[in-house]
Amino acid sequence: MNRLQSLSPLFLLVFLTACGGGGGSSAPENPVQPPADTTAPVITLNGDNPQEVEFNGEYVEAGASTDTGETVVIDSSAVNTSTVGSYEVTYNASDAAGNQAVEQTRTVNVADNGSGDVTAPVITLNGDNPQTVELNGTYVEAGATTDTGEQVDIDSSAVDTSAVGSYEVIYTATDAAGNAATPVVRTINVVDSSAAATKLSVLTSIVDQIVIPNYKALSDEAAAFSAADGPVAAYCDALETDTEATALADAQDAWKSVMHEVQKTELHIIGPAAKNNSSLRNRVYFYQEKDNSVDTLSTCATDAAVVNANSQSDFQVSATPNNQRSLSAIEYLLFNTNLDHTCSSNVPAVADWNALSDVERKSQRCVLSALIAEDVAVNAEQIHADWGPYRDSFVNPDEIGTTFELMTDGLFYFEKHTKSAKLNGPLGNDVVCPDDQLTCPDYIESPYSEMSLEHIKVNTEQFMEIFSSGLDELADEIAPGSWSNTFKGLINDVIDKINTIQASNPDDSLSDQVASITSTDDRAACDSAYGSPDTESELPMCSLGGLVKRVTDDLKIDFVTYLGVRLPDSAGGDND
Amino acid sequence: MFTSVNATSNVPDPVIKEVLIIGTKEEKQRLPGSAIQISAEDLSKQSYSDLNQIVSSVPGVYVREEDGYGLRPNIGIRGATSDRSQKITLMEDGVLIAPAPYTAPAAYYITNASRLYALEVLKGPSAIQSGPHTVGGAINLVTRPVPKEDFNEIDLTFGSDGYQKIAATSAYVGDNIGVLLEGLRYGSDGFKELDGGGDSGFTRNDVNIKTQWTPETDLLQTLTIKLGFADEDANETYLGLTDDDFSASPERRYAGSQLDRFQSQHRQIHLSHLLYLKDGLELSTKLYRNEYHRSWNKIGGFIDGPKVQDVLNQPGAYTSAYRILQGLQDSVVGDFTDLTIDVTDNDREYSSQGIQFDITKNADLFGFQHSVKLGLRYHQDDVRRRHQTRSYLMRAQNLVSDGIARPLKTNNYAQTDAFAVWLSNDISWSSWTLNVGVRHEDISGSVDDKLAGTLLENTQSITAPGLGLHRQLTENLGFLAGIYVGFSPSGPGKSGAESEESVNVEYGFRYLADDFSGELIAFKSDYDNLLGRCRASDSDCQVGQEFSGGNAEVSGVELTAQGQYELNDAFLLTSQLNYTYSESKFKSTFFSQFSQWGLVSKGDELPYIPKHTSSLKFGMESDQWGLDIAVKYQHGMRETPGSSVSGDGLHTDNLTTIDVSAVWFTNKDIDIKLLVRNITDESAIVSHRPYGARPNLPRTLLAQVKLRF
Repeated sequence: MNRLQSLSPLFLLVFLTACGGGGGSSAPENPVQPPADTTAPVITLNGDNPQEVEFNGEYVEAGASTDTGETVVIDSSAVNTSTVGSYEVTYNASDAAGNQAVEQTRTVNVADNGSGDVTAPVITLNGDNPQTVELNGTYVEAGATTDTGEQVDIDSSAVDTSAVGSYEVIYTATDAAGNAATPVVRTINVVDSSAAATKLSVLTSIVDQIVIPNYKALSDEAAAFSAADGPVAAYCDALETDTEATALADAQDAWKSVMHEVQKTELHIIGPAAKNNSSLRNRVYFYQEKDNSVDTLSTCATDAAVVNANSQSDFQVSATPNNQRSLSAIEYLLFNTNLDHTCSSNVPAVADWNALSDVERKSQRCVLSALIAEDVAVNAEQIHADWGPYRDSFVNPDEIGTTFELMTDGLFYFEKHTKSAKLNGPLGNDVVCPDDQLTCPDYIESPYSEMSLEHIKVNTEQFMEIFSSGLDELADEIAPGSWSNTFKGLINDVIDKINTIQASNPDDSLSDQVASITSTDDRAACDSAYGSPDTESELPMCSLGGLVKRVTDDLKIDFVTYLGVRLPDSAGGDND
Repeated sequence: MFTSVNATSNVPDPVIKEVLIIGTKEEKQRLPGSAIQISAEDLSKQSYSDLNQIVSSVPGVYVREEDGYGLRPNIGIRGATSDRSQKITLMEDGVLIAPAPYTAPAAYYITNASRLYALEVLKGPSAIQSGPHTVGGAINLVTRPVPKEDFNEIDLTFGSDGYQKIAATSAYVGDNIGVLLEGLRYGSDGFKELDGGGDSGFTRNDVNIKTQWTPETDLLQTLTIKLGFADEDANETYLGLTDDDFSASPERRYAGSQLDRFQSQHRQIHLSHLLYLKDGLELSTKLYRNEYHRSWNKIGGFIDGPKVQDVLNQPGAYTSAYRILQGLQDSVVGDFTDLTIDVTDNDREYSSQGIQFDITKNADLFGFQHSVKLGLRYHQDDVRRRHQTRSYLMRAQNLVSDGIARPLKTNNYAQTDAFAVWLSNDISWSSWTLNVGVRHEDISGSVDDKLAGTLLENTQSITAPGLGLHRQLTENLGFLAGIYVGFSPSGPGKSGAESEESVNVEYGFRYLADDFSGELIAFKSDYDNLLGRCRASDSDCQVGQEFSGGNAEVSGVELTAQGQYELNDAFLLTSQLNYTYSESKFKSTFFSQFSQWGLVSKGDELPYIPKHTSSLKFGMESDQWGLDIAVKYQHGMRETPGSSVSGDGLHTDNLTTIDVSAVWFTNKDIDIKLLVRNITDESAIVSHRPYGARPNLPRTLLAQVKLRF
């Protein structure tokens, strides 16, 4: 209270001053009117005009004055020193009589004249990016430099070498002029090379380097094959012309090219191609081992489809069953020189077929070939397209156990199809061929084009390529010695044998060899060649069968063990 | 107590003698080989209904727990694999009792432990008298004999997790005929907790009638007819847990196992005739037939998808599959894999029958005392496997059929005919006893695989000798040593696969006195061509496949000691110690498709052979009450071959359990007993097989009342 009282004179003084009271310094209330003032003030700028300012430098307003002392209003809001350019600062003033001075402007030039540093440094990382660190290993920071020598700040706090994962290290730098470098990120992959991470890298490589490119190539080949100006269309157009034979040969060659791509994809019928019981794959190409039997093309159904395609306006290939479409049907239609139908006499659809002229029959077959080729192209493209969104879910570390095995399951095509259905089955050396039959010629793949052996070769080469894409290294981490080399040797034996057969007997097809086995003595000779494939034999394809079986025996035992995968179709333990 | 002379003090004369293999007290004393008897008294102390628990304390015996109740025991002896007890010879009263001991020896049926009256474990040279599996040894389960006088008993037990057992025994004894009727029903709600609820328990019924006729003829003879019926209904599964889930909740069961169910029926008729001829000649004849049918619906993995073992070992790499097993995620059809759950009905019908003769002749010749035994057996058994796969989708934690008809996974018929002959002679002179014996088997079998359309046949002919020696060093102390060749035939249809053979050596000391007895025996089993029996569903164990066997060596020391001390004439104190030390190693590098082996390197230890097992028992008994404490320790076991000290591969945990039993003999007709199994509630991973980590029985309280009238 006392203190407040003592301050009261001060409050009073402030109050009086603020209200304009007190003091005698103010003007009289009614002054004598002076003559009217019509002279405008004149503004004079201080400092330079134009004024040069360094880029990113400091802009200092030099000010201005009037001849009559009025306040000058300065508008320098346009000036932006962080952008090179020319800016205007305006100066205005008016006197008490309302006379407006002529506006003055000053030009402020923001320029990078080289003497100031306006360039951000650039960070360059030392060492690898991404950098791989083994789980629980030591993370060594390889460092980074800038082009102008500034210190690089490194934030590696996120890296945890005790947990598998991908971590970011962030590198930043700023120069003396305050120019900040664009931050650089290094990825540190903490991996457990003994476990899933390596499986993941192998699977990723196989998918990106083999599977997807194979489906791309197949899609492209199939599209070219079925194109409006493609080889099938050209053959259809060339019927009954001088170029018919050439056009047919071209179409057949084109079919072989597509089939070459198909045979490569057969070793990885996984993902989109495997979905819904391999429906897309079967539409592209149908030849299937199932439950110890082999499903092949139905030539009679294809014959009937030819008639339907030419007589029914609403005929659609996509509505027909698998065993009368796909590249298998096209092979029959393009390669089979016998134009008669293959049905028994009681199939009404083809009742009138054999009476048609050759030209008519070729023409009608050509129509269906073209329609099926389009369907093949659509489905091949679909598989490739589906891999796009599917890829990331397939090479997903969270599912690597499952997806890696789907991939290795796919390799068992080599056992079920290449070995059993395509080769040893027809030769009578496999359970797919019933015991009461000497041989099973009906199972031969691509019998009209006689490409069976070539397909086996492509399968084998592709098998080798996939195995060599890191599966070999994975296996050798567990296998004693270098098992993968032994295994590759067995695979190469198969390829070498096929090359030898093809070189020495170019005209000898698997069909010929199967057909040559007609007696129990022949059977015994084939069994012997199969059992001792290293010994020269009159039946080299029986020997080949033995060589292929060596590969699949290792596949079923060593391969599954070293890669820690299961045998497809094998059930869990029964402890029996 | 076992091994000791007083162990069989309650074994009566010819009546039970005919079902005992080791024989009576007198015969046991000079037995030139190690063999163990567990008496009725000892069996009753802890009232185990789990055979694993009973035999696990026998030296040289290895047990792998599976379901916690011992429904399907896994027992191995001296290196013979414990997997489903298939490498040892299992008998009931001297008759082969596994469903098909030659064709499919996995012991899916075994005599209920609650019915046991005594138990014998044969090891060493004595093992050769009981084939076909002699690499490790044999177990003879002795059932209650027809008593001498009328007898009625009811045994009621109730306990934790809804455990209940009702056993009723009634005997009528006439002048020369006796009838024993036994009924047993026991079961539990199960200690495992199924995700989303559901039963995890079991019920077993077992009815047996034994009729014994001793006609008044010049020659002493008895005829015994035994009829048995047993069934089981168990919500049992092969599915275990990941190690992490086990740590969190060991008794959990994933929703994926909710349809799993084991159902079986067993029927048997055994005829036994024992005839005492003149001049120490005895003839025993046994005629038997067993029938067994089981249906086991159980999750077997994912159709065309990952193996359950892999999912549980590495759940992070099989995220969808792992979540679907738990019901946390629905099966998505049309994705990269449908992850459709395979629940296969492993349906099998077995039969086993045969006739066997055992002739014993005691005679003195050339100044030596001879005890010649000749055994002949003709045996047939078969199994019809018809495994029907059914497929289910996980939907909101329930398995829902996907409606797709699936083919049979396995469809085959396998059978074996076997003729076995065994001859042995115990030659005694002064303090020496020498046993020479030989076993020969001619086995022919076939497998008709209806799926592959193949019929595979094979024959085996095996002769294996044995030699045992016993020398009585002092009145109480004897030395014994033995060597024999053991074998285990390969299954039918395994052309090219040889039988498993072993050379087994043992030596040690036996001490027998009134109040103290013990054995200290070293053993070594050298296995040639160790066979891992390929599982039925492995399609690749057929013709000529490279099913490699390997050589292995198992050696160790077995110690058993027991004593008793009478305190103030009022209390009887008993104690018993058993300990087994085992070492094992593979002697070659090979690769096997047997799931427990896989790739084996020379020097690797065999799986499921614990380095140390031991048990320690204390008992105290008066006229009014009794107390028995059993402490058991099993060292962690390697579950895959390996050699490093730890860290690689699967291991089971060390496990120490304490079982306590207290009985009050209220009067001569009523006993009241309280039992606590695993009183400290130890929890350990006892196995990662078949699929994933499995727990032991948690603490279980039982109350038992026995009424005799």
